[in-house]
Amino acid sequence: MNAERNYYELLNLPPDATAEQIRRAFHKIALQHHPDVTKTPESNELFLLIKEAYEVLIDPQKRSIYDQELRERQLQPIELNFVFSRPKIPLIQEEQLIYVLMETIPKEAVKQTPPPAVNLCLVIDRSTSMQGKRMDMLKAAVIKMLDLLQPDDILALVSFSDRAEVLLPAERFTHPKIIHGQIRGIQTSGATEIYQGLEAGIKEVKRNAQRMTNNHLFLFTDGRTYGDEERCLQLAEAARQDGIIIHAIGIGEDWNDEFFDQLTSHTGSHAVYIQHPKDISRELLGKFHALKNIYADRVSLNLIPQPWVKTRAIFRLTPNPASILPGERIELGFLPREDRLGVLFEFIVQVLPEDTQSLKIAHGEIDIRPASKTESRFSLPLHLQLPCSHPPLDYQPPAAIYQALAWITLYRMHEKAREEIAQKEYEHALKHLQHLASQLLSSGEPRLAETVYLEIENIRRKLTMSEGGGKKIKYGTRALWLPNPQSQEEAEA
Amino acid sequence: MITCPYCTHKELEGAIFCSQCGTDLLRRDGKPTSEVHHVTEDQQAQTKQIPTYTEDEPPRSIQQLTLRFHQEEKNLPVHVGMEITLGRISPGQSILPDVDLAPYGAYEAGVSRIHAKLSVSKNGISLMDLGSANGTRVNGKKIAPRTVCWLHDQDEISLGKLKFHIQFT
Repeated sequence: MNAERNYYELLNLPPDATAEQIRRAFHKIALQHHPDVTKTPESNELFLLIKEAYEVLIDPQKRSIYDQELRERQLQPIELNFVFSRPKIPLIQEEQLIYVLMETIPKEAVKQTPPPAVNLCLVIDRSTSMQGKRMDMLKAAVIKMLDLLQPDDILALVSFSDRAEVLLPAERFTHPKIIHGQIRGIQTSGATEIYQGLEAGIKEVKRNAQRMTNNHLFLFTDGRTYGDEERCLQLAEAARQDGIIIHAIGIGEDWNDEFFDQLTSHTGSHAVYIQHPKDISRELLGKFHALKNIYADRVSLNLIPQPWVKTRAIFRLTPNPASILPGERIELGFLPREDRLGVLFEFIVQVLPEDTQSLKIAHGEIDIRPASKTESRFSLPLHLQLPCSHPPLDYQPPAAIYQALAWITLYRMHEKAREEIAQKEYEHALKHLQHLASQLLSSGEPRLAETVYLEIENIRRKLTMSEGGGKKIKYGTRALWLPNPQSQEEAEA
Repeated sequence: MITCPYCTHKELEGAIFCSQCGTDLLRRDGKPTSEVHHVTEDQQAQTKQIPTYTEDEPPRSIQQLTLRFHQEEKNLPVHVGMEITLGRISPGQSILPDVDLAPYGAYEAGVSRIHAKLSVSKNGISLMDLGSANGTRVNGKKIAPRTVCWLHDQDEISLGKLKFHIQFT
């Protein structure tokens, strides 16, 4: 039930309706929807809502508070929309799952705002393994990106191996020739110590982070870091508090995807897997373009599940699919000006008392920080609530939730298989992967299915999955969460 | 709890897909979950008529499936673990079905490019509609998309309006 229903629209009234008009409209509509007349459970609910609307509008004091809230809501540049997997919670003697899809949608006016300035630092791994095609493609991509910079954007460049160098301090960018030289001059050597690069990069972004919004760091690397993971995560946490968002782009097959997912999701971003060096340019330019089209660079959520309810999992569907760790304060990432931020929650509801009328699932607020300097941050309250009913309940979940879960289920099957391999439960892992392959085949993803079959062979022979295969399946199944995913076949065509 | 009809994994009430095998838990036979909730596995076995083969007594090994059309027949040698997609090939198509039904008038009959899938397991032969435009029927009864339907020798299958009988040998 969307608590955000407008009472005036419900009663078919103008905003300046008189008490007499309100009374007449209520009587007319109430007669049509009275449960004694229609005898359907839906109209009972609607009738209660109509009654609630009437009681608020007819009382001058309640009405003025409501009008005030309504005005504030209409002034907000964004809209919040909630979809529930079931219209009601059945009162049953066992635990159950309920899914809620939350969509944050910018209003029309937001789309007209000018692109925000970007404060960006590129942190580039120059360890020996980057030598050759990877580094050459990366250099070319960075040089291409320079052309997209606007006069108010700020760019810094850091390269690192087991130590870091600041090639370009965070400044308004003025001498393209000098910078081109700096980029071309990057020499590969040494090992990968991500902490070094990350620390130097964050320092550069931070120099302008107070003054600017839209603060980002792009980390490009192809290798694993050893022993400094924990310190990197601490850096990410500090960066989050300074309002800096860390994005990671892993090239090839040897980087640690679990670590990168953790590092980036701290700040509301996600890791990207690049299989072929030729795709570096597309990814970098695409990411930069996305930053210039942001409405809010940071959307965070403070969501407290109510008694009887636990949050089991959270998934961001759009604009960038990722799994998000539940917690008290959750970074949801950025909100594009022309897309929506879609997040799916999976809640477990415990056995409820028999006489429960309606269940408060969770409440809290969503905090939005617009990327444009001229707008200040604001919060919107959230109340997730559903009426309860006695079973049986005949329902079909809304298509958006159904479709998203169809793909998320496949992603989770692979995650489960990887856990099982780590715990040496090979038989279970094989079973999960076999089911996964067969589902992918019947969903029109034969190439991804083929990768899964290869990994099944790998487990049978070597009791492990290949690094590349694991990443292909993980990021491949994750990419499918988007409402209109480009299938693997098309992407590679 | 909901029991997955395909792999018997248990899921919480309110789940929409089986976390073990990815099967859609809601759309089978178009039944709502609350009804299925009270159906025991035995009853399911009866209503679904899952062939009751046991481990000691393996099913008569099926070597070949024959699709018998009005005029013609098509033989498919099979082995356990095999999956065969049925559909039709049209120009410019990237994913091809294993069995092209175009020669049997598939286009006119409304067969989708990738219409359905036959799976050969040690428990028998099953058919799954892969979300086709015009649906799949077994002995005249429509089957839910993406749901396993066990087949028997001489069953009549309709993909859209294209009818054929399946024969186990």
